[in-house]
Amino acid sequence: MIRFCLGVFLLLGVLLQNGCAMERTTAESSVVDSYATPDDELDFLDALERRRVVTNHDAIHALLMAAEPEAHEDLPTDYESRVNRARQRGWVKEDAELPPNESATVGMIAVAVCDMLEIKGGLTMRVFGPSPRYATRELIFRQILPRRTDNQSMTGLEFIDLLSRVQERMEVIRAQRAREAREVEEENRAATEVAPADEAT
Amino acid sequence: MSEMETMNWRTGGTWIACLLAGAVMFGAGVVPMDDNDDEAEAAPPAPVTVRDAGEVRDEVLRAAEALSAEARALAEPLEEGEQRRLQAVVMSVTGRAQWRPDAEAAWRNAEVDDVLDSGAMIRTGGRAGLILRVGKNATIQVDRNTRLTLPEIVQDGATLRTRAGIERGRADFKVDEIGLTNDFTVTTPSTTLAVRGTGFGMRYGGLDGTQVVAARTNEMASIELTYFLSRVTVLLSGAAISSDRQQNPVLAALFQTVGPPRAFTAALEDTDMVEDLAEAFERNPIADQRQVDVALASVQDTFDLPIFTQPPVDDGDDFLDSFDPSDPFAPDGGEELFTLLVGFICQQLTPIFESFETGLLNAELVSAVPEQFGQTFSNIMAICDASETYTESDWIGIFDQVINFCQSITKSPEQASLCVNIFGEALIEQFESGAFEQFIIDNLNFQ
Repeated sequence: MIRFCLGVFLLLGVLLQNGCAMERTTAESSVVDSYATPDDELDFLDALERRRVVTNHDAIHALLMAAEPEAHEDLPTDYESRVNRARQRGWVKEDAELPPNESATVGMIAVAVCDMLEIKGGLTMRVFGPSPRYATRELIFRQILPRRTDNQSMTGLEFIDLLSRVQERMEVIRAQRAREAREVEEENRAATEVAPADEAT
Repeated sequence: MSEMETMNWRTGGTWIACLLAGAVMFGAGVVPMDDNDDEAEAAPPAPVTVRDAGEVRDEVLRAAEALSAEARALAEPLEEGEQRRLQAVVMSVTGRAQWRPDAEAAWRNAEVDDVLDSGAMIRTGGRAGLILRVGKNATIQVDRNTRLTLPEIVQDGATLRTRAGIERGRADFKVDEIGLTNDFTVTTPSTTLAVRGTGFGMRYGGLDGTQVVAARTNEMASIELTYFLSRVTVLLSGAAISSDRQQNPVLAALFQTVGPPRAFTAALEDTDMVEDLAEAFERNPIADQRQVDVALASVQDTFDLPIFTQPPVDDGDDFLDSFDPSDPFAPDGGEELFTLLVGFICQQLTPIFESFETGLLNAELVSAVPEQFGQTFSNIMAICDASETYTESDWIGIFDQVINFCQSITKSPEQASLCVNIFGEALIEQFESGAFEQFIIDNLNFQ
C-alpha cells in the first residue's frame, strides 16, 4: 500500500513538472506575413488552406476581415494592433499572451465567432461572459462547429470552412436587419400618411 | 416534339410576338416622342414608309425560323467520335473573384463576359460570388471562399461532357436537358458525383467533408441523389443535407438531435463481448474447409439465381434491384465472401474482360470495341485499387460500372440486359475454370 501511494505521488510529481511545460504547436511563420492586406485576401486563403495549423496571427487577421467587411481600409496592419483590436472586441483576455505563430485555439476562435454572430449563449455564458469553453460548446450546439474541445487547433481548410459558415450567417443577420429597418420605415411612412387624414376627419 | 423543340418554338413565338408588335407600331406610324416640341414643329417628321403587312410578316417569320434553326443546331449531336470544345462565360460577378486559364497562369480579376476554356480555375473571396454559364447546358453559381476548376467542357458526339471540381467551398449547379446526353461530373477531394440533370449544391470543407445540399434556387423541390458505390438513393429538399459521412438526410438530422448510436468500438469495452468476438474469429482447419465449401456453394447458388439469365426488367439500371446480393451470403460472414468475390474479379479482371469483349462481338451488340470499354476497365481497376479489403459496396460498384457501360453502348433495356448477362457469363467462365477455387484456397487467411 505504501509503495502504491509513493508511486502515485511520484507520478503526480512528474505530471506536474512536465505538464506545465506542455506547449502548443508553433509554426515558423504565419500566412499573413506574406499576404497582409485585404487585397491579398484570395492569395491569403489559398495559402492558409494548405496550412496544417492556423496560427493566432492568421486567425485574428481573417476574423477581423470577416467581422469588419465594410471597414477593410481601417483594419490594423501589424500583429500588435490586430491583437489590440481583438481585445477591444472581447475576443482575447487583457492578460492573455498570444504568440503570433502559435496555433490558435478553437476556444479563442469560438469566442470571436460568438461575438460576430451576436450569440448570447445559455445561462453560464450570459452570467460569466463568453469564455472559450462555453463559446465552443455553444457553436457545437448550434451546429456551426463539429464536436471539438476549446484547446484544440484547426487546420487551414477547417478554419476556412468555419469562416464561410460564419460569413453566411452574418449575411443572414444583415438581411434580417435590413428587413426590420425597412418594415419600421414603412410603418413610419404609413403613420405619417394616415395622420393628416385623421386630422381632417 | 422534344422538350428542346418546344422550348425553341416557345422562344420563337415570343420573339415573333415582339417583332409583330414592333411592326404594328411601326406600320401605324408610331414615332418616338421628342422632348423638344418646338424643333418638332419647325422640322416636320420624315415621311414614314409604311411597308406591306405581308412583307413584314414574311420577314419576321424568316428571322424566327433562322433563330429557331440556330437554337436547334446547338442541340444537334455531332458525328460519332467528333469532339467540339465548349466554353464557359462569366454571367455575373460579386466581390473579389478571380480566374486563370490553367494552374500555371497568373490570376486575373473576373469580369462579366469573360470566356473560360477547359482547364480554367476560379476562386472567390469572403463576400464574393460568381455565376458561370458552362457549355450548352449548365449554370454554376460559385459561392464565397471557393476554389473551383473546370477541367473539361466538350461536346463529344451526342454527349455534353463537363467536369467540375470543387477544391474548397461551395458551388450550386443547374444542369439542363437540351436533347443531348448529359455527362456532368462534379468532384471534390473525397467524392465524385455524376449528374444527369437537376439543380443542387455541393460543398467541400475541412469540417464535414463533402456535402450535397439543395440548391439555393430550390426551396421546395426535391433532389434525388444516388450514391454510386453503395447504390443508396436519398431525397433532399429544403435545407436537408446528404454527406459522404452520413448519406441519409433523415439520419443526419436525427444524429444531430440525439447523437449517433453507440459505436461498435464502445461495445468492445464490454469484456464478455470481446471474448465472444475472439471466439468467433478463431480459426481452425475445419472452419477453413467449411468456409471454402460455403463460398463455393454461395457462389453457385448466386449464379443459379436468375441474375444473369433474368429477362430484362424495366430498364438496365434496375438490374441489380431484382436481387439482394447479400442474401446468399448471409449470415455466415457475408462481408468476407464479398472480399473474396471482389478480390477474385480484381485478380482476374483482364481475362474476364477479354471474354466479355469476345462475347459482345459474338452477340453483335457492338461491331468494334467501344471506347468506353477501356474506361470501364480502368474504373473497375480504380475500385480494386481503392482498398485492400472489399465489401458489398465494391461488388455493387463493379456491377454499376458494367451496367453503366452496357447502357451507354446499347439502345434498349433488352440489349443492356443482354450485355450485362455477357459480363456475367465471362465471370462464370472464370469461376468454372477452377480459378476461383484456387483463389479461395490461396486467400484463406485474408482479413
